[in-house]
Amino acid sequence: MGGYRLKRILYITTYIIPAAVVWGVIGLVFGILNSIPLLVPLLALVYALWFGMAESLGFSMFIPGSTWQVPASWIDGRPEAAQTITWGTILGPGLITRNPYAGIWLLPFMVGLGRGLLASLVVGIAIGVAHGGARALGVLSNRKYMQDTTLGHLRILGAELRWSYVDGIALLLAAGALIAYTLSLLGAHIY
Amino acid sequence: MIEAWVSQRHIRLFLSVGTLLSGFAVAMLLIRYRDFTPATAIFSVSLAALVGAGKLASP
Repeated sequence: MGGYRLKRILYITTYIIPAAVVWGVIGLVFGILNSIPLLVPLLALVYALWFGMAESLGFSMFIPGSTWQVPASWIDGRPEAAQTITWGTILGPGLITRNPYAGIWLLPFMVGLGRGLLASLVVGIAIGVAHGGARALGVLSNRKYMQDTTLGHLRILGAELRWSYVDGIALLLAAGALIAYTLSLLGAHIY
Repeated sequence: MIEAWVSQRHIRLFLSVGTLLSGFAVAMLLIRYRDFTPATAIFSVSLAALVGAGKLASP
């Protein structure tokens, strides 16, 4: 039991560490971009509003991002530890493989809203930890369903549709908040 | 049952517009009376966890 628990912790860690590093760097880059007045909030607002409406109303729309998938040759025949490190490094940050949710690309803009570079770095690392950890837990909890391909894929399809709606609602919440924030930056007296 | 109710187009539109207005109202209150930046950090971390947990399709 102890060995199983340790294995799970190591598995989750291999997702979290690369994600924290990658998102920390993104935090720094977008923290620097935030020195340009209004750029980051306006881009975030347009993105959140557009994709929030699309996802919450159920319009089929191209979600930006890569369609690249991990080649089988990178996994097949490799030791289990090497496979886990490969999956963790690639899937943990969540940026280079297919992502069905538009929310992922709002995160760099949100990181840039931090007050100063240090805040952006810390928020970036926290986002990496949250994404990588949740991704690893999702994979672990769905392993048993993946073994039954038909039922597993149906279940995943249904879950993705529901998740997409929740993601759209989160984007619209952000869009509303960003409208207020952008107006406040413009000096509008809305309250 | 809730899922069938939410999947109706006019309910979806109502909820979407309501969420947008709620975000606006909450942010307005935060900007006016509190600090907006920590709220964006908390929201971002929560959204990251949501997006990460939702990606079930692989491996």
